Amino acid sequence: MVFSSIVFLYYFLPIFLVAYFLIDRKYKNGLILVASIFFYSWGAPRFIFVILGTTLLDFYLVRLMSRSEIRLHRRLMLTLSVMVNLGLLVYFKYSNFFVENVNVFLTHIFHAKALTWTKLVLPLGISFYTFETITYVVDVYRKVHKPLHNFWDYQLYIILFPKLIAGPIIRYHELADQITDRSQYETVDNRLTGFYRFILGLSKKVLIANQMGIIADAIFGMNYHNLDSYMAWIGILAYTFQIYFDFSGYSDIAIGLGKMLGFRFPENFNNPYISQSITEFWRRWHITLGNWMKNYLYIPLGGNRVNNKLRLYFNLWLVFLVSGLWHGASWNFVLWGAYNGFFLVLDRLFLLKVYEKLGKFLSTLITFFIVMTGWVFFRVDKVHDSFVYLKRMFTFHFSESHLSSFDSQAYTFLFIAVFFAFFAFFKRGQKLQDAIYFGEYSNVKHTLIAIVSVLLLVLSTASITATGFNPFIYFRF
Amino acid sequence: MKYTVATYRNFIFTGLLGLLFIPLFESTTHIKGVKKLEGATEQTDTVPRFSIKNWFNGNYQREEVVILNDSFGFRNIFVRIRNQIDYSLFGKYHARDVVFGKDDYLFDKRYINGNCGTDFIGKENITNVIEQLRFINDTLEKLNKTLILIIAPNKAAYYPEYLPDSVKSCNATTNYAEYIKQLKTSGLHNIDFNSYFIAQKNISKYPLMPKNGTHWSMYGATIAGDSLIRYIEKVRKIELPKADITYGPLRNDSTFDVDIENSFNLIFWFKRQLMEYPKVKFENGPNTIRPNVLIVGDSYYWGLSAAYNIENAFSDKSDFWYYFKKLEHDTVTKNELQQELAREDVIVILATAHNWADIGWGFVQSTYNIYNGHKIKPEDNPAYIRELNVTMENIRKNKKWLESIVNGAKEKGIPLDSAVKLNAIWVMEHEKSQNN
Repeated sequence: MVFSSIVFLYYFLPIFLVAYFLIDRKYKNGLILVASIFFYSWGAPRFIFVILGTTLLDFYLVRLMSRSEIRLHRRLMLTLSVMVNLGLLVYFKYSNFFVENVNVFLTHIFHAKALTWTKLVLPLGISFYTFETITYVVDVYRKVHKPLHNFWDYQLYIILFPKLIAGPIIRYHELADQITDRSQYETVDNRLTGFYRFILGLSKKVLIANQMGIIADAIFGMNYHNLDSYMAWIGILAYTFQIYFDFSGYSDIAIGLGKMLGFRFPENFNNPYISQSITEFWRRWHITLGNWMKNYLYIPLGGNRVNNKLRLYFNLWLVFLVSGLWHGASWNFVLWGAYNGFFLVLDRLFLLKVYEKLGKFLSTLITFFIVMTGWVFFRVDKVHDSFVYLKRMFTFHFSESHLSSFDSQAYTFLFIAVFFAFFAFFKRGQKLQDAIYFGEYSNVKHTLIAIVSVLLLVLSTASITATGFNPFIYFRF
Repeated sequence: MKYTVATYRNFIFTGLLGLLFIPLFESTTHIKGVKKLEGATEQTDTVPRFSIKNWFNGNYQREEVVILNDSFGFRNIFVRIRNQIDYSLFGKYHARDVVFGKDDYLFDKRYINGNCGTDFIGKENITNVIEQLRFINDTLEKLNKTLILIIAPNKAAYYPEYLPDSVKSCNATTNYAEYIKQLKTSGLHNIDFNSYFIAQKNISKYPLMPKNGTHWSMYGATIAGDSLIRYIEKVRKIELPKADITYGPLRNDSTFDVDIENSFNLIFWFKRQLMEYPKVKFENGPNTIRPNVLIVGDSYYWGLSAAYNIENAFSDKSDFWYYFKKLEHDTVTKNELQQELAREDVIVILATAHNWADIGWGFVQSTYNIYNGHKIKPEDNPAYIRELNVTMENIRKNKKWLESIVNGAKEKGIPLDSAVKLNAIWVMEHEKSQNN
């Protein structure tokens, strides 16, 4: 089920929330679980069994592991659980990619017959929930947190519908205690601020990201060879804002929904486009994935403690290659990961010092430019095509006929996107944003924000009604 | 104090949660006064069938989503809000085929095309239709029946001064002009309201065509309806019920005369004209005859019915076939057509000037076919030829398809054009059978 759909907003959500607030505390988790299973089955009915099956296996493997004091035994359980989870992810997500590449070798180099293979459909949200199951087994293995006693509690951690499909990726120890007891956070203030956050996310997705998507889709749908530089830049600029408002909007919705239910989900975005280096960007963009990569891949690889600098750079780069591949089974995502890893290494080598000398404005501008250029690899499916697109961007050939291709609405929303993406660049903007997101609310503030939320809800619904189905970009990962 | 703060915040949250329930409430209770959407906003009545199979293959969910999206409460208001914002802030509108003229006069693009001749079907095709009509007319006259052709006005021809400059300079031959030319010498009964309205434009007390609508105004339709009644009386030498027309105060709040504006589905009105909405009552005299009349027509008939109540001047056995389809949207069968032709005294074909590109929408050919006693080939129908040409063109544009046809033509040893034509005929027949 898509958050920005009529069926979710005006059927599933109100019915679920009223039921949730009315029933006794001891049944609340059960209700969320049933609602989450329904929520997931609505969009991917067959794959519900994949989640239910793997969580059952994980739960008992981890239980066995936690009861054992023998190191080898614990390691075996850990390895088995990680392999099952990663194995499923690899099977569903990377089999098609693997077979396609093997076939290229077979047919082009050995002139042999291609392997026949029925393409697999990717289970919704598998990239996200697989990473969460890994945190469960690793956190228990590292004794960061005790395992859950009840299978359904574990099931709830994995399948909790606000974050199930596209995150934030919540590490087990961050949520474990809230599953069993979150009574102190079930306050009317949290419900209200959760609602505001939910509406804010919905508006970011529907009112800004979708508008940016119209421009980006139009331009990326063209023959790149015929693009002039103006269109190429507008296209990637629109996509840069589309992916940010789409994904951060989804995260806001998830965080807001969680807050209404008494959960505290970690933040996933922090104004990434005002970053002054790629290193900072990755601390502000998809924060929970960054944290996951750091704790469950980078640190096990040796982290910053490796003796050799070359090894350190290699580790950094490897983490970003994996991160790229996590986003999708395609060479363009690998390239995107490598591109980001490359600039991260450059940061360590000398760029951070250069940025310091350049000052805030220029550093932000250059970083934004690097990030935006990198999105070309992310947006264009084929590697060759992405280089054609980049060529069109950097030939600086401008054709007058393209200047009027988009109407005032497109440019207005582009301006709105720029405004909000860089809102926190200035101290006042950051202050205002903090006050809305994290500040104390007086009754007057509640009244004002509630009125704005209602207006945004009406505008978002009007937009959804008119444009129909509009899934989030990150659903495909 | 604490109690007051918590109560107030609970009140706000309950209110916000309650808002999410309003559409659900409206869709189950159907509150009156919610303005419907105009135009092609079809709602499906199919109820998705729940079954385990439908659930697991996702069909149930897909169907349910479509239905809920189309029917959730206050959807109409949300669509209007979106449209109003787009229109007021960005000048964008979501009505299809609408052209803004000078002083915000609204035009239907198809009418402009008709007036410019971009849909001209060719002199020969028109001659063929006229020949068929003459044959039908001769047969009907032998059966003491009357065929009347009505050309309803074209707004683009009526208000050329308000057309945007970009479309003003078209001087090509039009279907209307060619039909008028050939009708003059054909001996067929016809009324050309297009030229009549243009002639009356500066004399008429009230606008005959509205600024924000595409059809004749209610006043114009009353004039047209009355003229048709008088024309039938003259041709058939009978006396029909007499229309008693009273004129009321001018209004701008009617849903008539603003059909293009309505298709924008906005919240606020455009600037509207004050229009006349006559009231018509028919009185029967001692010699009054209410003939059986079949009208095969386009949407201009609705004006005759709404403004002039024209059906009250005809017998109860009279009928209206909208685009040669029954009002239940069923296609007219040969048998039904035969029965109808046998029953009616007067057969009227009514179409606005631009609709003469496909006059009768199959009625002329079908009737000709019945009276001529032989099956007419599809190629005799200009609409068929047009569709065939479009389909052939589409095939030629599709590289893969054309490639396979080239191969097939080589194998069979037939010219490529013939092979393309055969494929196009197959596609059209296949689509027709699918639609049936």
